[in-house]
Amino acid sequence: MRKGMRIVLCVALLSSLTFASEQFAMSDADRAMYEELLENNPADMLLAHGSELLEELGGESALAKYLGVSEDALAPYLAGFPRYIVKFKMVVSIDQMLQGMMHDSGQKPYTLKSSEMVNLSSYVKSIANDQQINIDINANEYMKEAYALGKVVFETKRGARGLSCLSCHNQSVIGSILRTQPLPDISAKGNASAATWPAYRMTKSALATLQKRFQGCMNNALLAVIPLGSKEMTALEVYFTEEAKGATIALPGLKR
Amino acid sequence: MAKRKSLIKIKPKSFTDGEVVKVSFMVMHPMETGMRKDKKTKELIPAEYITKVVFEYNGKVITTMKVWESLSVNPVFTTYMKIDGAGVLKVIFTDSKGEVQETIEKIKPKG
Repeated sequence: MRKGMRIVLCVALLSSLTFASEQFAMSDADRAMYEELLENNPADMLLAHGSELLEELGGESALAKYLGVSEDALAPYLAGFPRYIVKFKMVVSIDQMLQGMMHDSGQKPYTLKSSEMVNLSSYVKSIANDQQINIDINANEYMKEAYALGKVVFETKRGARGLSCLSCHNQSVIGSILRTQPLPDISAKGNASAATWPAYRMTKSALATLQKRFQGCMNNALLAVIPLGSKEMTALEVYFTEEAKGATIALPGLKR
Repeated sequence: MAKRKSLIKIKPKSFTDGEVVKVSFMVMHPMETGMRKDKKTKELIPAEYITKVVFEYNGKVITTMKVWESLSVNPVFTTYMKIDGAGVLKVIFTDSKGEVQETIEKIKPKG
């Protein structure tokens, strides 16, 4: 009996290892279900709410005017965020830019954590759907600085366990199973996560931005959580967006 | 009770008269089973789930779905229907607290 169990265990282990070598540990039936759900992404409702919120602010034309671009050039411009904006004297991601826009139009800005801001900024990023990410980290010294800082944040070991993002997301451990999930490849060029976030997370039943996802990962790895919209967090987003340069934006995404 | 966010999606997006299309109704609903405890107060969260979904096209009932608490949060209901002239598609859901809400989508077939 015991020997039988052992054999079963061995088989289970082996099969998990073979699955791990693939990028997604998913059966064909599961993948079909996943694709069907992608068609009916619940986050579409939240994006519809975001578009209502943008209409209250004056719609796409007001946004284009605020950013100083023509309405046709708005989508490619949004595909290049985070950007250095002269008015703010800092590198900002889309949500902070929207906060600035709300402030300038005399409204009280939504906090970065609020669901309104998540819906609004996700909708604004989805205006750039089907565009390719065109971030330019060599545009000015601030962007260069942000990219360098993002790389440092990604690689610095922190916390009680001395873990960095790179500890679990480096080329040698990618595909191993951690917390029942295969570790995704997000350390190399061509990682398209910046193009598929903000995404609906099925485990949380909520829409989350890339920065919120970073926070979740930091929390799980027992690192001190970096606040949303801080210099380091925006820098990390710049680093990720640069890796996804050239990837086609498809929002809202759908994640486990 | 504030109106829940909901959406009706029709696939394909443009359709002609007589075509059979896929209709999906999505709603942001917590679907509480009544068996879950609040992590902080340690008290049971009262049940709140959708019990019935009705699809109506120009006043005619297409589908009635009976629903239990086993469905996931933010569920999606899908059915197929034959387009029969312009009109409105109405989806009405009832939940266990007696709340009734309808979502309306205009149907305009091409050609």
